[in-house]
Amino acid sequence: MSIELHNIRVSYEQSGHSLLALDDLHLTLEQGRVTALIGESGCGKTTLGKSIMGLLPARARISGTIRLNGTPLPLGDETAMNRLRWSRVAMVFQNGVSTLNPAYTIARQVMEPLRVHSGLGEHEARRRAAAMLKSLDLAPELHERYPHQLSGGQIQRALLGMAMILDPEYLILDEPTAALDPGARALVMDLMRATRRNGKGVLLISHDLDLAAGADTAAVLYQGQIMEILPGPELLRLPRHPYTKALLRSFPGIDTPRNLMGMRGEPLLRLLPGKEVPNAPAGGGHTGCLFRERCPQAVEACAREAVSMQGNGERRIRCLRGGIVPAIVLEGVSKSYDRIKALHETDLTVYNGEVLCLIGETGSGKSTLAMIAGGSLLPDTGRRLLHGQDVHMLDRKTQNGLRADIGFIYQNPLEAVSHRLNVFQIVAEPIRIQRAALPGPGMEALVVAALRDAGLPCEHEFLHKYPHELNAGAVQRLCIARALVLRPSIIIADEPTSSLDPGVQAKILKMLLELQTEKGLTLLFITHDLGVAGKIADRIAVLHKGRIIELGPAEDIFNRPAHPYTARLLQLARAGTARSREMHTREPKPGLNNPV
Amino acid sequence: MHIQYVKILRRDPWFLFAALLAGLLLVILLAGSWLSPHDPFDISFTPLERPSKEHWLGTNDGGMDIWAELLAGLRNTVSFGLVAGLAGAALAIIAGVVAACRNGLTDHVLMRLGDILLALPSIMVTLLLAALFRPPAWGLACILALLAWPGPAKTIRAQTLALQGSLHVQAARHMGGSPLYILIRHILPELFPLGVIAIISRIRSAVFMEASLAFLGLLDPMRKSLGKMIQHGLGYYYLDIWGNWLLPPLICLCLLLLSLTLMGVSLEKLFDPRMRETNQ
Repeated sequence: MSIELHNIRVSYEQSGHSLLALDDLHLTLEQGRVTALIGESGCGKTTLGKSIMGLLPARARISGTIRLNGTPLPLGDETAMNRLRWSRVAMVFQNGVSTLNPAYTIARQVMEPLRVHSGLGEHEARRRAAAMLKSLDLAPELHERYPHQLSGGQIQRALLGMAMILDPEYLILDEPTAALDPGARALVMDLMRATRRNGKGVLLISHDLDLAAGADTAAVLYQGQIMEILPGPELLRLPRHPYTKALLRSFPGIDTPRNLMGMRGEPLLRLLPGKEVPNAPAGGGHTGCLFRERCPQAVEACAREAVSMQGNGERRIRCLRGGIVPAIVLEGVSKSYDRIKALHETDLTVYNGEVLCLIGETGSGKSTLAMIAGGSLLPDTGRRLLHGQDVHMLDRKTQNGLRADIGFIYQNPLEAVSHRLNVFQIVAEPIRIQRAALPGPGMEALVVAALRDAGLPCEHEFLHKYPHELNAGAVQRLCIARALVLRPSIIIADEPTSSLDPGVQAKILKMLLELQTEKGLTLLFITHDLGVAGKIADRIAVLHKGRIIELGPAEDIFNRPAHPYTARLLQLARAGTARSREMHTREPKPGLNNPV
Repeated sequence: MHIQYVKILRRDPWFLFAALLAGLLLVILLAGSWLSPHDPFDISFTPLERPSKEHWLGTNDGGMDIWAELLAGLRNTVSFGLVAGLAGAALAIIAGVVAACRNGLTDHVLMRLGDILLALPSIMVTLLLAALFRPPAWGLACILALLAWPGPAKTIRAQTLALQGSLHVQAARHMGGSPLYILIRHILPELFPLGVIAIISRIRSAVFMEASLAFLGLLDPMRKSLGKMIQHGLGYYYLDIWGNWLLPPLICLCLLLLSLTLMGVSLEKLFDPRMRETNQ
């Protein structure tokens, strides 16, 4: 028993061209399950809901089939659709107040489907409507009020009551929690749970990822195409599509330490020239992946080849590269210095576009691991793969050229630049070194672009300044510009802000993260400061005595540390904060400076 | 930081004095033949003449013009010092950098060789070689250079090792810079101060050594030299020649050594932060 959407394509006709809202969409809504549809606004979520309801506006063109429990929906036939609506498939619309009639009380509007579809008498209908509204926590004195007399949350409840009054098989909830406070949100969640228990199917349309994570299946919609389908519980923890990941990063979750970073670029409007042609190829005239412009791991083929959903069952993904790919893979690398084992055999994968923090105390092997990952230190054992290539198998020249893809930022900016070089020479140094590998625009243009990226002025005068004329924050920005000048895809930052004061540190970190988002960089960040790690990391690896003892999403490390050492680190960090706070709140003891 | 070097040096009175002295000596040296109308080897004048308009410092026992002789001697002494000093400093820089860059056997061999040379008293070796083989002056300068490199080489090696561990050199290496690039762009510029100090100190000791060897008569007797003039003049110490024959070369030598020493000390003070005075 399910609603099956097969090859759905919806476009809206506008003057002279049409706008593709849904494309190549295959989705199954099963009974007894909650399916969440998530995505940015304008991605076609509501269009999908309205398609199922047969409520698309007249200028919309739909193709493909929708089957309700095996029988195709009579999409063109208004009378047949009217019979299905509310009784078998019901939808709660967004913008509650505008969907209610201002001239009727809510009780009246809730009982309307009962009277129209079931032909119940007024008295019985009113009784059932009152019971339904009460079960939704709406007090009886509110039932006879008009929509404008109610709050947003109360209206949302009335709408829910209206949708459920006929006990439909499928319930489509369009942004049910957008206007609600947390208490009412819990109510919606309870309601979803109850509906699922009763064997109904729920399609939850939402941009609230926490809510979506409670669903059985989550489908991620981008620009009218489903990018990833995955089990709800894995949504927050193991997204595989770069878009899903970027979406997570934008969402202000309570447990996710790092968020609100957003993603680069804006979605393209998918305008089709002229009128919609029947049986047009998927993609609507656009070839390649729709997300490629904003994707940190897009390759050339992403713009050329049509991308279809891959995989089957619980997890499906629309990505030419099969989801987020690893940027650096280390397999069994180890390093000793004079018989002291700095790093035991370690495996580490750094994924494209992520921020991975290495934390641990001094001498735990953080820097050694990072230097091995960056290719500036040869491990005693093990392999290193950069973008899937085993680096040591390549010839020297190619290996050296690959260095252009990795930028380094160091702990002590003033020592990391030669004080004999001026700003221009410092930033241009990687270009000078790698000049063989550099086609394209001139050196000066690259330097200026890098300086601008790092938030530094690029006037002629500034280019000829020497590092000692700048403050530490500016020199660190200079180092960042130098790391960026060859447009690398990976940045390795070794305690880049620990020598800076908190004000400058905040600015530099913010800029680094913005750059990471805008340029889709992969950032390997080494720090001993858990506070910093918590603010920036997607994943955290904890090192202790040359081993990675724990590796996982940042929120797991912070909220559910698995290793006692991690727990101890967190405890110490928190205790440190508490202690310093205590110093200020405690009553001053009588003493020399505080006579009684 | 290096921009401030010039500023600091301009405020250092000792350095200014030394530089002025050195400049004066250099002008005298370069203008040599214009300043003296006579040929230093011309023996056609009356011997042991008192200073006059014709002969500013008089003449010596052989009837040569002392002023012309002084100029020629100064030129020879300084050029000997320059050859020996520059060659020695070059050797020191090469040995120091090579030892630091190719650590292992090369480093070991070079440094032990340096230890042996440091242990030998170079003045004795030079005396012996000069007495036994009577080499020409430039040959002796080369021998001196060969004996004198280990001291500065050790400093330069240590500095190079420290530089190789420094963050900006590491950064250049991370960018894919070749060892040659790093040497030219990062290490040699940083070694420049040490190189200057090494050159000045080598020149100073070479000048002193030349004067000593010439005084002892171990250099070509036909070659004009400050040391030789002093030794020659001392043969007539009982006559009234102090003012015009003995003192001028002595003063020249002293001023030369003084200016080199002061410059060396000033530069060392400048480049070594621990020696830098607190007031600047």
